[in-house]
Amino acid sequence: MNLSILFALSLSGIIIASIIYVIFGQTTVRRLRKTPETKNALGIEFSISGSDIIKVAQALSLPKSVSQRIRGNSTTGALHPDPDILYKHTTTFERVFARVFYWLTMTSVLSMLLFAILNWLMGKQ
Amino acid sequence: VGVGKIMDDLRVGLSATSGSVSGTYAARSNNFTTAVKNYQDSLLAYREIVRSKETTGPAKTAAKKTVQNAFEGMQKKFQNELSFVDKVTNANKAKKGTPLNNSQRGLNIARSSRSIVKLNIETQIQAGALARYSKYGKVLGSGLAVIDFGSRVGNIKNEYNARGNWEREMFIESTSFAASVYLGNAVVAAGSSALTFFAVATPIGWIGLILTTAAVVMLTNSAVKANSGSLYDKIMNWINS
Repeated sequence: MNLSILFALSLSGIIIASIIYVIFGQTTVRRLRKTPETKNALGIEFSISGSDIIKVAQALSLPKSVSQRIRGNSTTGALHPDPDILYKHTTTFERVFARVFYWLTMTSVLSMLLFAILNWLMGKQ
Repeated sequence: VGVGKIMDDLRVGLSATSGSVSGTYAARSNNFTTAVKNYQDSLLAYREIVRSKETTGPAKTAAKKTVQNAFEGMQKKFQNELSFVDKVTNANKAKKGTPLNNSQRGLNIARSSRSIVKLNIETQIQAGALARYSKYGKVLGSGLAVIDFGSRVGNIKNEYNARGNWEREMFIESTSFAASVYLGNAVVAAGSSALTFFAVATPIGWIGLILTTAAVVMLTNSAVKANSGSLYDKIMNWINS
C-alpha cells in the first residue's frame, strides 16, 4: 500500500478532529466547567490546558463500567472525570458527539502513529 | 546527526510532555489539600464535641485521637510541603506554633478559642504559593509550546528571507506542530487511563508514559515533517490541474 495515502488520511483526520475538539470544548465542556455540580468532577488538568476536553469525551465514549473503574482508582482516579455525574448533565446528542469526536481522534492518532513507525522502519533500510 | 538536530527533537518532546510531569505534581498537591482538609474537619468535629454539654469523656478522647491521627498522617506524608507552607506564611516564627505544625495548638484553639478563624487552615494553604503550583504547571506546558511554535515561525521566516517556497514551509511546520501536539495530548489522555488497568499507576508507570509520549511525539514530528512537503506538492498539483 502506498504509505502517503495513510499519511494524508490520518493527517486530515487529525485536522477534522481538532476542529470538532474546539467545537466540543466551546459548547459542552464549557458548560460543564461552569456548572457547580460538574465543576469539580472533570478531573485535574494535567497536560496543556484543554486536556479535560479529551478526557470528558473519553469518559463518555468508553463503556460506563470502564470509566467508572478509571475514576475509582485510588491513586490516579482524581485525574479523570466522574462518568456518573457527566451522564447526568449531558444530553444524548452531546454524548453521540463526544463519541464521534473521541473515536475519530483515536483512530486518526493511532493511524498517524502507525504511519510514523512504518516510515521510520522504511528509512532504516 | 548534529547537536542542533538533537536539541530540536528534544524541544519538541519537551513541549508535549512537560504537562504530564507537572500533572503528577498537581495530583500530589491535590492529595495534600485533601489531607489538610481531613485534619481541619477533625479539628472542627473535636470542637463540636468538646463544647457540647451532652458528650462523655470517651467520646472526647476518641475525637482527640482522630485529630492526632489526621495530623500525623498529614505530617508523615507531606513533610516537605508543610515546611514550605510554614516558611511562606511565616508560621515558623509563631511562638506557640500554628495548628499546621503543632496538633496540640490546634486542639487548644478548638477547645477554648471563641473564633474558629485560625482553624480554617485549608484557606491558608490555598492562599499560599503551593496551591498555585498547578497553575504554574499549566503555564509551563503552554509556554514550552509557545517556544516550540516560535522556532517554527523562525523556520518559515528563514525560508521567506531566502526567497524560497515559504508557503510550503508554513504547511510543513504547521501540520507537524498540530499533528504532534494533538497526538501527544491524545496519547497522554489514553495512556493515563490505561495505566489504571495495568496496575502501574505509580511514579514508575508515569515516567514510562512520559518517556513513551516523548518518543512517540518526536517520531511523529519528524515523520510528518519529512512527508507533508510532498503532500503539499500533490495538493497544489491537484488544485492547479
